[in-house]
Amino acid sequence: MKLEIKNLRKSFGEKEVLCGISFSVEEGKALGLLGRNGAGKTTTIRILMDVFKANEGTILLDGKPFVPTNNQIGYLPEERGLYPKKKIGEQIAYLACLRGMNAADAKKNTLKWMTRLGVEQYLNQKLDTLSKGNQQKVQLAQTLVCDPKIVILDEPFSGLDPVNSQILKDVIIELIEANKLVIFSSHQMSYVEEFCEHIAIVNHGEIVLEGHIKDIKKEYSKNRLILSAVNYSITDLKTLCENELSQIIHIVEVKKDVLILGLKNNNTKNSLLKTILNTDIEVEKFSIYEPTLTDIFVDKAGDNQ
Amino acid sequence: MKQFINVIKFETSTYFQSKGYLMGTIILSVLLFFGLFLPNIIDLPFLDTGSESTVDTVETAESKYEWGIYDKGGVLENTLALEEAFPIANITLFQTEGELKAAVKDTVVESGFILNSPTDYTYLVNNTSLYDNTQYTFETYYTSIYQYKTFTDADMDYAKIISVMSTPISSTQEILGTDGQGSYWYVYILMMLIYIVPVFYGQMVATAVTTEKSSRTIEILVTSTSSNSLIFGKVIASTIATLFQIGLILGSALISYSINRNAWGGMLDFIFDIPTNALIVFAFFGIFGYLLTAFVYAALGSLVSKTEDIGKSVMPITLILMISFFVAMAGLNMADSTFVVVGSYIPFFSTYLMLIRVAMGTVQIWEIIISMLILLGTNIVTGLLVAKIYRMGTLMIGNPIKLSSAFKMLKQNND
Repeated sequence: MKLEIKNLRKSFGEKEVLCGISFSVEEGKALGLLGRNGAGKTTTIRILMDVFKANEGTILLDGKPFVPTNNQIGYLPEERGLYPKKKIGEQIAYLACLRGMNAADAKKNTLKWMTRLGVEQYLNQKLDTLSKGNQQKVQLAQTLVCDPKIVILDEPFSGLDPVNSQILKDVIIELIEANKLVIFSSHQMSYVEEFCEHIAIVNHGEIVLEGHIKDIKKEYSKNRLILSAVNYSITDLKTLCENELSQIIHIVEVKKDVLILGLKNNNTKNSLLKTILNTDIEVEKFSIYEPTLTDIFVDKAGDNQ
Repeated sequence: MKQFINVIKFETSTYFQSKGYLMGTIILSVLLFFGLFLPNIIDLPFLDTGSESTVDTVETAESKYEWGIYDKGGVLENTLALEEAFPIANITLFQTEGELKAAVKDTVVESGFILNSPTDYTYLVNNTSLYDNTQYTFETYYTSIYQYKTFTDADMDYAKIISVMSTPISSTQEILGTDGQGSYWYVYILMMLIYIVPVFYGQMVATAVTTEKSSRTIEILVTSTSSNSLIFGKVIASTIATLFQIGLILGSALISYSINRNAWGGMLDFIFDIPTNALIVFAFFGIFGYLLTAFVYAALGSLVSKTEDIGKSVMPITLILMISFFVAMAGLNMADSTFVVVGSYIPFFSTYLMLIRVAMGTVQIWEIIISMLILLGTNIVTGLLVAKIYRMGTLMIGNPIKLSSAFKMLKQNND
């Protein structure tokens, strides 16, 4: 199963919020849709769920037009909500029935997911009597109650404490292992890095970076090195590099305790190392630069973009 | 269809789980059921039975007016005796105007009359009231004195003339069409139901929709099933709950009255004895009129995000309901007038006016069918339109949206 989003465009009045979003995701994999607030992640997801209509663009599932109501989708919206005054078990089973399940299976699955998420004791309680964290778990139970093939989670980690985040993380890993197609949006890069093979960074309504995390990181680390010295402060080391090594490298970024250097032309790591050893720099760190997802995100969606 | 039935089941269960709804239904049904047993338990003074009429007569005899008269113009000379002239009052004669005024002031007599001439008098009263008919009563008898004097002075037999003038005419009424007079009260009560029920329950539908928005449940719902299923299911569930409640309350009253009809002496037949054709028309137009109103309430509920904004939002439909009710009230005694006939085809108005025409006027069966079809069609079109507004209003959280703006947005979306 492959879901392809092609050239989605959406305007609200005069403001164009999506300017040609495209990405794809396959079953058994999770796509992390990353972006700053207002970048267009939720709008993309809402178009995917047919809450909004796109002005342009197509969504295909295995090459055919994607109709959300024809597929079992587990959707956790950014704006969480269920009936506050209804019994939890009743409303989750009701939502499962609305998504096409029969009453018996709906009841069985409600119990299954409530138990899996550790909130089965609240089945007969009203939602508004639960703590925020437990309400989040109930939300997740309603998302997964119909055994969806496609799972779309909009900011699933927001508002969760570390323990509940771990439970959610485990559930998402289980979903991926169960060959589900998972799309989720998040700001929290650490979670994305843990179980996403594939990311798409949205900025100002456009996909500014898309691909496998490993490939992206590899591309980012290509010809980039880390350098720090025992006998120079970072500022002095930067000045030294600019004065003496400018033929070989350029300064990519100055971090708190290291410099990130980029190799110029056809210079190699070995040739740079040899040159450095010929200076009075007493090397503390010299290694290949491995960017974090946060580094990549800030680079692509930061204020400088 | 399956989802639609699921929505109906869920929404109906919401009503039946509501303590307010259940308690209201039970209390009203029990009150009406046992209330109609009252004549079997205690004597109700207004019920027309033999023993009570005796009491009435005694009371009438004892409750004669206490009038004081000062015959300034000598009107009472050579005329009927006082008891004969004023059989309904105990008369005290006064010699001066001052004495009479003092007696009225001190409430020795209820009212005082200064007889200036056979055709002119002065009425003395302590405090006037809106319901004081003393003057009217007095004038009736005072006129008799004048007539007696005039006829007698002209040498005519007063008793004979009065007998001729008050000869009763016997008549029989044969109603060939509908009994407009007999239908008045039950039509009036059914009209009140048609007005009150949609206002009350419609508000509940609007609140339910707005609560879905304020609790953010709506996004999960509209991504789980079609908005048509949601809105039609919601409105039909509210209709079922309404029918159940009204049915139970009216049913308990009807059963209780049929048990206690003899005790009531058939006194409430004018309310409970409703002809079948009027009941059928009331049921059809009542249900579909309610559905139409509930759809509009649902649409208006979806345009606001906070329950406190509902009152303002539902103002347009409340106004329409009020106008149609007042138009119907105006048409209550003009069942065959042009505006009632025309209005009986227009949804919202037809709910009342077709009932009036059937119960109190003349109407052909094809006219009823056409009006029914128009109402049915309007319901379907409105329902589909409301589903679109509901869907569009889903994510418009924040300030209330005007209905006119909602239509503009819908048009833009369609373009």
